[in-house]
Amino acid sequence: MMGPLTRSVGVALLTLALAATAACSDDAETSDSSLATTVGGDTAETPTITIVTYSSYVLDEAVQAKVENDLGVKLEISATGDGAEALTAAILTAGRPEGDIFFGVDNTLLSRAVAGNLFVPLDPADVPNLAEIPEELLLDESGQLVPIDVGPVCVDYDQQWFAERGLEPPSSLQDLTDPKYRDLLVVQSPVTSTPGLVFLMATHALLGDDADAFWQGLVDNGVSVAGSWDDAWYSQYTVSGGDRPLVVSYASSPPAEVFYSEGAVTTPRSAVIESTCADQVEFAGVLDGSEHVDKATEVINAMLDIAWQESLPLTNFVYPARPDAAEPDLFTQFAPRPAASIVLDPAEIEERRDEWIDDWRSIVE
Amino acid sequence: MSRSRLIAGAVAVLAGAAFYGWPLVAIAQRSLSGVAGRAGLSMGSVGDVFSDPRIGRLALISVGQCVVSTLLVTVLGVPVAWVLARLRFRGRRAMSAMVMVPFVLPTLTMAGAMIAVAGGLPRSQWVRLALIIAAHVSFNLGIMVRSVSAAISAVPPSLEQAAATLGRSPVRAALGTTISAVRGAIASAAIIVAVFCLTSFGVIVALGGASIGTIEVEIWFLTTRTLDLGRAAVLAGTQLVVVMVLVFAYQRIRSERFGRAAHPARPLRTSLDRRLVAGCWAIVGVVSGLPIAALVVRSLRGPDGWTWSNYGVIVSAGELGRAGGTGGVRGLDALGYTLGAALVATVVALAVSIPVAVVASRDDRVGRWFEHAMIVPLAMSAATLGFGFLVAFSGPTLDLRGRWIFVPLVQAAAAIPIVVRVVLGAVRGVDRSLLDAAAVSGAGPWRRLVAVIWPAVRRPAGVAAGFAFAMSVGEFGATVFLSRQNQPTVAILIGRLLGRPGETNLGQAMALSVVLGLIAAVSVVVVDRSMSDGPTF
Repeated sequence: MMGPLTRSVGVALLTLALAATAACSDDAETSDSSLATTVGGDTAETPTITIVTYSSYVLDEAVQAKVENDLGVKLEISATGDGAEALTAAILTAGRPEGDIFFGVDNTLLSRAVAGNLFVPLDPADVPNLAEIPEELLLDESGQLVPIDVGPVCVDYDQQWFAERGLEPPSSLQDLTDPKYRDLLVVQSPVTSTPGLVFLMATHALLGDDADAFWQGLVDNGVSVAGSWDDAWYSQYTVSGGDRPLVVSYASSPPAEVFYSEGAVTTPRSAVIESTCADQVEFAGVLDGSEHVDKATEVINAMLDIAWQESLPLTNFVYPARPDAAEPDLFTQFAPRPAASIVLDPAEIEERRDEWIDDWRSIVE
Repeated sequence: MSRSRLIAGAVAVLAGAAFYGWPLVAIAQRSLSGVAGRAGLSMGSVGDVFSDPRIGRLALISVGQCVVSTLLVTVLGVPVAWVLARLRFRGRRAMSAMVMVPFVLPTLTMAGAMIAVAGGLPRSQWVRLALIIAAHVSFNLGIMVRSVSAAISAVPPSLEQAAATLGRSPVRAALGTTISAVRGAIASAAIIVAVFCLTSFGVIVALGGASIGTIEVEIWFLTTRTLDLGRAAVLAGTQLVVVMVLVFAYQRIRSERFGRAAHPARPLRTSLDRRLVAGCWAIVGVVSGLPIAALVVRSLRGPDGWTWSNYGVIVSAGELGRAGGTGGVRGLDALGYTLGAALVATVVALAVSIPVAVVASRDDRVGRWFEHAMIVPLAMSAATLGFGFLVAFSGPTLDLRGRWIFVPLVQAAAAIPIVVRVVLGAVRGVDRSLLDAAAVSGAGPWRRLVAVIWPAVRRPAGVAAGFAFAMSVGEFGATVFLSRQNQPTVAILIGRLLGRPGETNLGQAMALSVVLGLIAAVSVVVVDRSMSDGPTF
């Protein structure tokens, strides 16, 4: 009579025991690692600098070890969602930050990040590497955010597809509304996708008041709108087996195509239409509420050291902010940095972002 | 009884406040005041939202896909539930487990499976909408099948047999007796399915692309993209109200009480029985099996054709992903954390749900109030829950960010409403006369709990634990805001892998998804086995 009851109590106890074991083993791990820190160097003198960022951010291991050694710090990454989600989380917890540095504010979010009272102002004297950064990247007038890298968003095209048909690829933004290129372009929605948003802003920056007419032209010319970069690139782009040979992507997509093919491809099929490129600049700042403002500022300066800058192309597929940082062969060969990118003004973006998106939605959706 | 009910009530209220009240207040407070220079909630933003024709269109899509998905789940799920509850046949456990597997898959994976089944993302908006509905049906069929089959097995088959003996066709006999007796359970499951479809996010974004949006996607957009927390609050609030209306509607039609005993299934006797089983295999095969098969096939593909390497890397000491996309996380570590977190989430969910169910089980005003209140959190959008937790538990006194327990807590919060509903049905089924008899004969509250209540809720508690575990293993929407780079769950890891290009990343993501699916299947089988015998009290 008590058999099943005893057994189910047993099951319950076992579950609890398992849970407790799991919790304990976690504790054990934590104390192990804190032990290691203590052995490796006095914890009191080795502050941990936590970089809050988005989840696809990659920190090169060798660079991390070098910076930790040089500055006497331990670097940790605390990553959440995509760039906008991570920034929203940081703004919602402003003043009680989860780490010391936030990385990943881009120029489309710059003004909002500054308005969120998240960052402490930096003295340029504490970030000597800023002297190496070109003027046009120094977009934050409040002196809180330091540009780290640049990732131009461009229209890419499938060279093979155009060559097979003897069709000249488009050479400008306006060409995309040409009936010659009907049903060939896929873009991302600025509502759900960051490259989509940058591309929308590029059209406004380049065409001004004619941007809405341009988008109407794209719709009339059969533009396809994807929800995400993945959707556009993997499902609709001809290089991945889709039916659209023109795609909004990155200037670094051709080398990425080679890199991620894992040896299957040595020359990319994709190439970039340079005149369509607009720079997405990524910034870092020291979070207000950090207990290690000085060390964190040193880490930000280290982000602009040559070693850190040169690690960026093959980890995050962006270009270094420093012009004197060398780019890997894959980049110099297949992704020369666009000579003149469309300039996006953060102040204008903040003021008109919602309006542009609303207009876009009424035209395209 | 009233003192123990008071204690249970206090526990329930405290837990509700900690899990939902506090996070909701924290996020609502910021919505009212606005952040980063954005205006907050005002009467103006309420008016704006309701007069926006686009919002109207989004609402139409939200409700439309939700209604169609729920109807399909009901029509397909109830026959399968009946067959699983009434008939004993080879492969019954396999069918029961298979139907639950899609429920645990992360939304991104399900979207990937649907794209694979469709042979690429279709261009037509209508086909995309159909894919979204297909994904929702696949996800939710298990909820309908398992909760309804539990209810059916509690209904004595004798009525059905009597009706059949009196000359009604077996199908009509079942419809007229058993199915009609469990219509409350069907409605209850349908409401939960409807709420899931209404608040679905990842599937809509991945399959709908830009052209198909819903209110839930708009809440996420307003929160993370435009930081317009005021308008987001208006929409989130409206969504909550809609769900509450649904729940009240359900309350009106709910009528029956479940019995306690599970009646044994009978062997197949007629050709109709065999045809029914075959039909259910067809349903489960297409709805649950096809997406799983697509995943398995994809997980076995590498750059050079068929390979086991995607699985090899999960159990090896090597780093997942290519070019450091996963931040040096090893597959086994993520798997260990996922299982540990899901176990803790299950224990927490049960610990909170049982007192709530005990309070809500009494059919009086307080009981009904609790029952209604516990459905509402289901309608909280994942973004609201995730950001709410983040803001609420990052204070100077209690900062859980980066702590091991943070993720299981939010997973428990997501699972509790479901667990309460499953346990509640069982507690209600406890024979009141038995309790009274026990009280008269001098048994204290503890003795009554052990001797009367526990045997009756044991099986449903097991089923509920299975749901909670499965939901926690696959939870993505809220976990994504709380999990940390060096300690992701498998679902989060899959999201990261899918976010980076390349065959290897995709293959590994699919392999991890298959592993998650296996875990779900195994947990369901284990629950079934340990709970298969009826209470013997």
